[in-house]
Amino acid sequence: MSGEAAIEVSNLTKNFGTVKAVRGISFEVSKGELFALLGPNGAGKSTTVDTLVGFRKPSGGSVRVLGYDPYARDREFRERIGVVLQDVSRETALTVEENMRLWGGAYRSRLDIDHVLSLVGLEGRRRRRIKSLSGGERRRLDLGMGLLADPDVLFLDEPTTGFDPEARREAWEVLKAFRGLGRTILLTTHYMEEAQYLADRVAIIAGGRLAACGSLDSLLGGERPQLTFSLPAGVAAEEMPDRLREGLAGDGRSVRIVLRSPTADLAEITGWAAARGLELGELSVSRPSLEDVYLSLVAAAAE
Amino acid sequence: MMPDEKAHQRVREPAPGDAMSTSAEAARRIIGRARETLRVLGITIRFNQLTVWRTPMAAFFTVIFPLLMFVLLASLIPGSVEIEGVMLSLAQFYAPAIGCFSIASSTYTNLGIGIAFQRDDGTLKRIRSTPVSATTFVVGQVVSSIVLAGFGFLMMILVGVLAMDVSFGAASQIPGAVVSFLLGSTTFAALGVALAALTPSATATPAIANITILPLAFVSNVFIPMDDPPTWLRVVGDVTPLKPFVSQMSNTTNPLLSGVSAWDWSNLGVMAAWLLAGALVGVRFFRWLPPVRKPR
Repeated sequence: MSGEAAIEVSNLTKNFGTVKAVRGISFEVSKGELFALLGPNGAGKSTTVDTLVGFRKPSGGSVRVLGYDPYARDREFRERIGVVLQDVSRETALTVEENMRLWGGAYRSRLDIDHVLSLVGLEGRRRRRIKSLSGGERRRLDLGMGLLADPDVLFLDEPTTGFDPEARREAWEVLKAFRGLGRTILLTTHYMEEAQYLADRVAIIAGGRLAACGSLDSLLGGERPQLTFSLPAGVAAEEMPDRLREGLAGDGRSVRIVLRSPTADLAEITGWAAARGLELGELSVSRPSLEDVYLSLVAAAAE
Repeated sequence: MMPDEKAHQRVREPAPGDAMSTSAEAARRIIGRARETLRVLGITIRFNQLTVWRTPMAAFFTVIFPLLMFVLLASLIPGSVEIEGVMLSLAQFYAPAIGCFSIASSTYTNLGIGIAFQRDDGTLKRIRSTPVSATTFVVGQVVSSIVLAGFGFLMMILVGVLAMDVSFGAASQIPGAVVSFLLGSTTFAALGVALAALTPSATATPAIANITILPLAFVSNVFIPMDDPPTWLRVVGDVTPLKPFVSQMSNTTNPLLSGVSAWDWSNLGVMAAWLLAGALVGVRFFRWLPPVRKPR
């Protein structure tokens, strides 16, 4: 195994017939790191996860997880990973506890079932049959099944879809604590706040390629703050300074500009407005969120 | 909520090859692997049995429904039928015939539909990422369906003997009956796996299962005893697996037919050929992953 990387993806491509789902992706995830894959539907996230857990064979490039070739599906490899797939698992007539005891028995080592039930907040549901659980509860059971063997690497494909906000917070705490024990986690998500709260590093996939990859700070740090306001009625666009006019949106009223040197720029703009006695509506200065970065990268990749 | 270090301890199952000596290492590793595979097989069989018996509709259709058909057909239609030169009551005729049909429903129809749905809803995919190999999972279901088929057939015998004045079994026929049951149920289970492998999507599977098994039942002396069928019907029956199976089971469970050999090699041969064909198609064309709807 090379160095401290738990997951190594190198120039991965995957085609389905003529459809190129993944077109050359490379990244590494260190041991103990929580890594988030973001991207629109159809970007290649699930296909990437599928190759990492050994469901699909790469068309090109290579993937290594804990030093294993996932597609060989060694028994040892399967003992050490946990997988929570996008599809909610089937409704069965087994109870929550039976399901964990039965399938947990297939692993050589696993966590205590009471402990896992409390981690995912299903203690009160242990004797309920799985088919009588709500969708969110079944999703929590999926998460519990993924954690059951205390895997060294945990793969989560949109794990908190269908959770209420409280359950989502609780799941986040479980994942954070799990990472705190030195386990590696790779998750895909559509929730930017999930990635922002949990991830050490983020990769954004669009159109089968990596649009960005790095720590949150590096993704957000390069972004300058923005000023937004709406132009008061009665002020014609032509009256604005040139550089304000560049930021005017199509509606002819709202303005969004990037501040290259924030203090001086603000002084210039507010000076211009104050000198004319204008009150700029909805005036705000903000740092871009992960969502802004994400949307601009995805839009750029689509062009 | 937070996992503290103390609670977060792995419970260790004894692993095969733990503390093995160097001399017998290889042998013990093989035995260890085999034991582990059997253990996991046991888990999947237990899972299937729990699921079936807790799903009343499934138990009803595989066990109760054929029983009902047997009682109705044997009670409503008067008369008797001549098989191998021996006159039999209709109940005596229908018990093994519908028993075989019930076995085919448990294995071919139910198993095929079940596996196809598990493929499409991602169950097989999910299982594949755990130490339960998906092959073991499928074999577990095959064994489980044969257990269920055996239970259904025993129920048929029991109801026949207790309520329908059917006489069953000369002791000398039992080995032939057991071998015929195992061969027949395994054959239909293999065909069920092949069915799941060949159907493009799970929703099409029930239709394909029924459109194949029902006509087969009509040319195989299941519902209508055919004294002197047209040649083409007889040939179709003879080269497909259900009629030989019915013939074997009635020859080996009916004391009035104890003069007929329990080992009709052409019957057994036809079944074995279908078993082989089903297994080859099943292994060659099996798919673990649901159909790709759209790349994600």
